[in-house]
Amino acid sequence: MLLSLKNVDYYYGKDTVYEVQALKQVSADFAENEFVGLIGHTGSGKSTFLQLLNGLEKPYSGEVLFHGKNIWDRDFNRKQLRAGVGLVFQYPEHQLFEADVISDVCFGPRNFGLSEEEARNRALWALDLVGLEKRFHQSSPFELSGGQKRRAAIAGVIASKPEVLVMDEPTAGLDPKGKKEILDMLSALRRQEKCTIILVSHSMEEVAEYVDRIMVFDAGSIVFDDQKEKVFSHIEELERIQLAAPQVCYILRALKQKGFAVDTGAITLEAAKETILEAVKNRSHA
Amino acid sequence: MLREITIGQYYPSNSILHRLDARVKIIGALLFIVCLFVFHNPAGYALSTLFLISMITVSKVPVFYIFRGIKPLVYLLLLTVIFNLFLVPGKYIVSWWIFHISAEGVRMAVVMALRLIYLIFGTSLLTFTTTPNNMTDALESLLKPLQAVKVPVHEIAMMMSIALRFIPILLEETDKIMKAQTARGADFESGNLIKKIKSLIPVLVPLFVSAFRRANDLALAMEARCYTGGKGRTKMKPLQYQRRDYLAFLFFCVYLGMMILTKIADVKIPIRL
Ligand SMILES: Nc1ncnc2c1ncn2[C@@H]1O[C@H](COP(=O)(O)OP(=O)(O)OP(=O)(O)O)[C@@H](O)[C@H]1O
Ligand SMILES: [Mg+2]
Repeated sequence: MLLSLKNVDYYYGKDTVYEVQALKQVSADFAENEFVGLIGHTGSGKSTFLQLLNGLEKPYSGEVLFHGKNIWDRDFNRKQLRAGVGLVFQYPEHQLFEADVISDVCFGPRNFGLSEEEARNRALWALDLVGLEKRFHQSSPFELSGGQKRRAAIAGVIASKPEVLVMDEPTAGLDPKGKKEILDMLSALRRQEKCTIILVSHSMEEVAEYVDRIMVFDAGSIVFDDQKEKVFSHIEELERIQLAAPQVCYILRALKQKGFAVDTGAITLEAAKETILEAVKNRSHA
Repeated sequence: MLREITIGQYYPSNSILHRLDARVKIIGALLFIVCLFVFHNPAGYALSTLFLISMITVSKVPVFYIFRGIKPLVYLLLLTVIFNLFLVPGKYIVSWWIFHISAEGVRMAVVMALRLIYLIFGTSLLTFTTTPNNMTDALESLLKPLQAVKVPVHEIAMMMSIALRFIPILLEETDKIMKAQTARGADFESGNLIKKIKSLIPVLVPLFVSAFRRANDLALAMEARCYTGGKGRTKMKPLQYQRRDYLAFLFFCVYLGMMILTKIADVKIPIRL
């Protein structure tokens, strides 16, 4: 297994009045070339979970394994781990600091021991991938628009070519086109580089469209971890933990109740369109 | 890592110390500090220790939490101790090359360290048990007499409380930025001093940007709520002394009285080295 967590507990402010158990006995496995979506109500522990994956936070109990090795072993090189597991925080644009965009993107690869030239090539590749045009490469990151900053910051992590790319709500606050571009870029990256992508999102439609497997967090525990179709068939359970299924699921359910022979298992817009057209066609034939 | 810093923060609890009027606590803390520096005889220190221990117990703030408060000041403490240890002249008890340690120096080092630690404990106990809001109101109320000489008391109090409130926010922000840069392979621990200082640039630049952004947001939010300074501003919860506050004042008077007694009686316990 590429990356796994075993029975991990995590607390914030242990032994003070602020104590919160952010993760309770969490276990998860990530294989090569997976695309996993993490969903959950706010405060359910998703961001905390992500920080355990690349050793930014240490579990209170339980273990985190990368390529089968415990990352908290004394002789484990956690810096190299961070090259292998790239983490893009929420609002990553707040971490830009260099005088120009390209140097900022080079920061990661350079830290992970690449030569100046290699780092630059990686940076150009990453900037091209996220769709930040050449004319912005030399500008100050603080002069870019919000969406452009986001792209630059994401490029800064992708440039290290991680085996596992972990993203915390990368599309929050972007316009619909920008969202789609970032997600399409992630899909392309996964196909090209055969990397695993773990994506936190609050949009059920996004998750239904792009990922293969979904993990559902509730109050620090993982309540579902399955193929996306299976997870979204539990609409009632999802609603109980203040989540929802994609909107098309509700439309299909309503149509079914009206007597249309639609497949309520469809979760993407495209699949829903097909099953509805099919149902309408059959109905007019009958 | 930085989450460990607790200095200047509030620790919620419902102890009697938390419920005391903030003005009483400020006066108490001041009295404690003044006594610490004025009455430097062994009995005085014993009394200060007793006072501090009883206050910490009453406050219900975990002891390890209070001790964490010293952490960021450890170097300052160490420096004080070293300077006193080597530079205070007197009868030398240890001499080696250019280094001489005198009995006086040892005594001074211990005393200075003790004073500093008590000073930190005393003031952090004040902030641990007082919300920033109450602190502002109390400061404003205590400094009110200065208004007669045109000191902008309200503004000073407001600035102080905003500064206090921003400590945890900026620490959290620093923590977040450091994590994000660590995720990109930044290393804050290894290397020599120059390298370590250089490694802070990726943290400081975003931190300053975010501090200005936050300050700007706060100013806008205050303006949007028609804040124009202290003139004509009323309070939702005006400070009012309760019976327990008068009792606390009485307690402070007893404390001060005993301190003065130690001075008069001058109970000197000879320190032998
Ligand atoms: N730095 C921190 N200090 C103390 N408690 C924290 C900290 N960060 C998170 N928590 C607490 O841990 C719990 C999990 O938080 P986490 O950030 O992992 O949630 P999340 O699922 O990412 O939420 P969101 O969807 O809003 O980003 C919450 O109850 C939160 O209050
Ligand atoms: Mg989060």
